Amino acid sequence: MAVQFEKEGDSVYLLLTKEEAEQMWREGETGLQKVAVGSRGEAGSGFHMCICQPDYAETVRALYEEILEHEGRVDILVYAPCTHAGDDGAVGERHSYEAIYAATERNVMGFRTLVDTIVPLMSKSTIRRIAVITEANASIRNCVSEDDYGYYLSLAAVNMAEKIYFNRLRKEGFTFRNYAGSCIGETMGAAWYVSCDLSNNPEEPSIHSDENRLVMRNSLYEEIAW
Amino acid sequence: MNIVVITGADRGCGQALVRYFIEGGWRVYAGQFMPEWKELEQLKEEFGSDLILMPLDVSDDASVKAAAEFVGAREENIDMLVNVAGIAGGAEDNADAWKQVFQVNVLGPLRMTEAFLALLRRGKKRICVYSSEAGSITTQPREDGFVYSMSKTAVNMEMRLMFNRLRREGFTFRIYHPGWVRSYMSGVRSREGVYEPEESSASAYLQFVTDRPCEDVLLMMDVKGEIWPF
Ligand SMILES: NC(=O)c1ccc[n+]([C@@H]2O[C@H](COP(=O)([O-])OP(=O)(O)OC[C@H]3O[C@@H](n4cnc5c(N)ncnc54)[C@H](OP(=O)(O)O)[C@@H]3O)[C@@H](O)[C@H]2O)c1
Repeated sequence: MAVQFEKEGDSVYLLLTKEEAEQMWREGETGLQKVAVGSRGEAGSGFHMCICQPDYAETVRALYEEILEHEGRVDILVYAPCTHAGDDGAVGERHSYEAIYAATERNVMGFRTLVDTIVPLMSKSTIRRIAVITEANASIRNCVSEDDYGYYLSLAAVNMAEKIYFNRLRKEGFTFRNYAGSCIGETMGAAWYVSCDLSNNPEEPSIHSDENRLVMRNSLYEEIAW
Repeated sequence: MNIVVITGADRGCGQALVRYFIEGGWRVYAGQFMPEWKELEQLKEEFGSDLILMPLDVSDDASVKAAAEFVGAREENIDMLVNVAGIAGGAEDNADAWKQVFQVNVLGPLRMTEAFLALLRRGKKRICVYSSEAGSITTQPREDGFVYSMSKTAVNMEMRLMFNRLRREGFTFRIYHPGWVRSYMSGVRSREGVYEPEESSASAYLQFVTDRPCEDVLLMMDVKGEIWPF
């Protein structure tokens, strides 16, 4: 978890579920430091931590109201699905279908609720970028996992949802990022990639711009097949 | 005699597939979800003991377990599992629709595979699923209709996770896109579409029973035998 401020005066709203917030509370200062890694601003100025359960419309609505009041717009929305289904083994081993479903509900419907609610605030911005932070195993082609169904089914479904949003919103000037993986060594971190523009000459036919397709990339800027 | 279990066999692609398997010399256990729909029973009259009907709701743990016990009481093994059952979901594209569609389209094939795994391990070890072009992130052209598309992407990932675990035991997999079929997905027989269920299932049957020289590659193939990217 890392928060990066681009410029003085930028605001970052970090959304935490109740469980995540409780865990950080237990971890005390270390937990907070983890959150503020990479931050150039003082936590507390443009940095806001909010309890928000993306799959609960009321909490997302409350977030919408708060941002509307204090900022008036959202430039970039970053979503990282991270709920697992607990003890979720390989085929034929232990797992709970209920828990698998519940993990997808939180990860997938959470993304949908968040995007549907926040997009009107993004329409007020000139940046309008939606980013999904995922991992290389989200690729159906390349995935090497044998278990963790609730989590991996979610990652695949969230990627599909992002593609449908791309189809719907690209023509309104929205841009999209899908970033897979960790940042080891001097590679491209998620925050850096998400804030970079891609080549785009609106005078050229749309097919010639890298902004006009949705691509999953890792920290080496390699394209990963879906 | 080879043995296959087929879900969603009452009508549409599943029912057409039943006929091809029996004519190909297989014994078919056909999952019956709609007892009020009498066409499967008419097929039973035509094919006798080669077709065995059993109640099956793939969204229900107890129903799937009962079906596996039913087959297990009669057979040492099964050779193939074909997951056809699928729903489009209603007009709503919300959390309730996701729950309903996920239960059938995604958890259905997982429940079935796990319940029949012991029988499959003693047979020819092939697992087939009806997916859709709607599940391909690469080619997805839609601006809405999230739930159905996400369910088909998720079932493709599910096949990958199963493949990663079961391929080394000799299992093989088929992910099939049946084309746009004039079936019953909207509740009534569709007049729109490109293929009759019989046409699409003829291709499915051939792809399911034919070995490939590249079983280590997980592919989604369509009714024309063309490969779709995930
Ligand atoms: N038709 C197309 O153009 C098309 C395109 C791409 C992919 N597909 C996929 O192809 C597969 C076959 O679809 P189809 O076109 O043959 O549709 P269909 O005519 O509706 O046949 C599917 C059958 O599955 C049954 N079913 C629904 N829920 C079930 C459950 N919980 N347990 C067991 N059976 C259940 C359906 O019953 P009800 O009628 O009562 O729901 C129906 O009898 C589906 O997985 C579908 O998603 C279809």
